[in-house]
Amino acid sequence: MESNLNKISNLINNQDNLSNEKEFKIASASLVCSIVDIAQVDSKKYCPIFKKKLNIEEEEFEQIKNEISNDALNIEEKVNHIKNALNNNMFQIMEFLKILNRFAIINGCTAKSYREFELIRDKFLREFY
Amino acid sequence: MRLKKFTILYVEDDKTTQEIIKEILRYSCKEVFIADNGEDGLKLYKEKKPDIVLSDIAMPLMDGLEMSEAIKKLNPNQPIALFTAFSESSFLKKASELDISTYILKPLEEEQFFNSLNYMAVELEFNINKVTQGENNGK
Repeated sequence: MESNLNKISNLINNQDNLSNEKEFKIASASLVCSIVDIAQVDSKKYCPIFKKKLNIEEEEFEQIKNEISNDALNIEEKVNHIKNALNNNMFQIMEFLKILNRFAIINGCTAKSYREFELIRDKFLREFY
Repeated sequence: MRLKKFTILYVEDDKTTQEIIKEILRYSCKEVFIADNGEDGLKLYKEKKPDIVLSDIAMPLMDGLEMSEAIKKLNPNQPIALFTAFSESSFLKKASELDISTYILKPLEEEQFFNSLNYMAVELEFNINKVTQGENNGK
């Protein structure tokens, strides 16, 4: 089970596979925060997963979180940033969605969180439906 | 429709729900196989090798998670969707350990239901392409 998730983690952790690592990290952390409603939960418990799956350190995450709170979330924009950072590679995008799916169901996820994940997922894949 | 290319195993013990979903799936998918519980679902899975598995969680004899675990042992890449109200927290803990493709929220919303099925169809196509590309690169 871990192997699929590790594939994208490895890709993400290897900067050569990302056209813009910083942009990717901000966009992906923003989407995760939106799914898990980070303002309402202890963000520290997500830090190990951010590090493991998206190569985002705790300090980096705190910084990104502040940037996010000062900026209205435009999901469409974040989705496009991630697609571009992953070079529109569908294999990588599908692996990225698996990571988001994982975030959506951990730690007492609610139906609201899962609906948010579905909204984001469908924005990534709209052209394929 | 993307789903028309794929077969589905649908496992549900509630007969009323089963009838409704079965009819929807019959119009949308290539072929639908139905089972009333996880035990029968697993038998049917081994026999029919469906492309997608769609299952309820709480069922008699063998629940949806036990069945999913057994199926994943047979085929780790099998796309599986589970129906959940996200109130079954004891099930969810186990579910998060399995590589479940998607969860379909109850009460069912038609658009979300089809989007989730389409997501699995996309996942399947990319898995197929990945295998094909790998084979071609190996030549």
